[in-house]
Amino acid sequence: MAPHLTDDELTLHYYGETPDDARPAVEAHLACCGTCRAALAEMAGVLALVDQQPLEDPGPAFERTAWARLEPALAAEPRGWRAAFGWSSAWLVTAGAAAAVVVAFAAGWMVRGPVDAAAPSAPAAAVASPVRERVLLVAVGEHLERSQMVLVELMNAGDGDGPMLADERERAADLVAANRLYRQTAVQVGDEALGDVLGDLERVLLEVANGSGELAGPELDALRARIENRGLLFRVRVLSSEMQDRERQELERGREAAGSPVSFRRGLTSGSVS
Amino acid sequence: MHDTDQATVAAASAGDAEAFRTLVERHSRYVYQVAYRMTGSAQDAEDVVQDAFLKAHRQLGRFESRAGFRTWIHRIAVNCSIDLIRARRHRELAHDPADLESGAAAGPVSSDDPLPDRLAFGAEVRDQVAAAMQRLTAAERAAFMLRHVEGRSIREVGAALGLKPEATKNSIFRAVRKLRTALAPLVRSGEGATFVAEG
Repeated sequence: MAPHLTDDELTLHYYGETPDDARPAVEAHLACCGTCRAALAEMAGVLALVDQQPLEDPGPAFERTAWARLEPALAAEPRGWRAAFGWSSAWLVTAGAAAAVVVAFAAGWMVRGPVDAAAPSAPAAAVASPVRERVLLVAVGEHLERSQMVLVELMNAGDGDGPMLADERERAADLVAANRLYRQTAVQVGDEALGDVLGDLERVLLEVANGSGELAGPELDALRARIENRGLLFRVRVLSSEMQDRERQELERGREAAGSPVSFRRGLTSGSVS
Repeated sequence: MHDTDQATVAAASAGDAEAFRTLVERHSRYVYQVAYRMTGSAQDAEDVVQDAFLKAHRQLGRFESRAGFRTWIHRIAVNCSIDLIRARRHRELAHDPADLESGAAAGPVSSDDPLPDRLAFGAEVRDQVAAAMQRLTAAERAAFMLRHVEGRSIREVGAALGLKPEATKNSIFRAVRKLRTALAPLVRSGEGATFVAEG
């Protein structure tokens, strides 16, 4: 007798996603194998339990609290000229958060310098600067990850995926403002590599965001060509990975500086983002 | 409810704040439940409710009434959940592979527990299903929910989550394996019994 079906084959069969060329063999096996039929029935039973699971109840006053939280955000929605220029609240919130991170980083970067190790506040200063750097590294890292996902969607889209890619326009629009701030900051602190990547990324995000409707045909082809010719996806991936490494290093430095008065100098002289 | 949505959406689209509030009060609980199913987190689900209604507010002009407001906000909520999961994916902790086999944390009803009659069985099963779902990683949960509950194809799930086809399949396979490991004993012990939810 043929070997039993694997769990994964049973899962594909359950969802009707067995590849066409494998389907006859799977169905023939199930027709004559009681063990596999029992396994499939057990799987169906488990998934039925999931289906029967009651929906999570957020509590009796949820609608009131949801509105109370939402109302101020709705009041902040752009009207008039900001709406005319397409400055949605997503842009403003994203740009605002990015600006806050950049200001915090720039303030810390500017005051960082030789510190008297004997001063009572020195350890606190040594910890504060790496914390600001970590905040920026986390923010830029998350931005690069989100951007990477948009690029992956564009590169992997197949024919007929135009409607799905319409969501990517909105994601790109949310990313543009923050990208601009991070790029300008990278240029200011002398991080040319980061500035270059963010510059190329910004051009692609703008192109995606400023179009309308489905993303398909010549427009999609041109975007893909731009991404491929600049090696943009690879460069974003590499930088994202570097950001994560830097974040881990800064975290370790911060822990050392907080825990050991002797080691805080290393945290101070560890250098900037670049 | 859905028949009156049309008039309410029209009023909200025209700038009537109270009309939009009505839509929020009518559908926010549902949106929360959709988001919680996707994210498994109360805090994340609340954030998705905010994001989804903000997006709906901005896009009211594009809403086509023939689709039904609930269907429309459902799609927005799922997309917002996906965005949140995608943004956090790289920072979640991976589960210990040993959990896959042990199933101890979400195992069957132990012999020390009160004997589950058909009515009490509901609460025990609910707790164990909930515990099993919580043991999925964010990516596994999202992929599984999109495939199993939303009915999207594996390819569509991958596109939504930004995963390659093999990675998508693996996320769904792992989710189903974990659920089977944790819940198969319940299925076996309850064979022939009817699952009765507590009233």
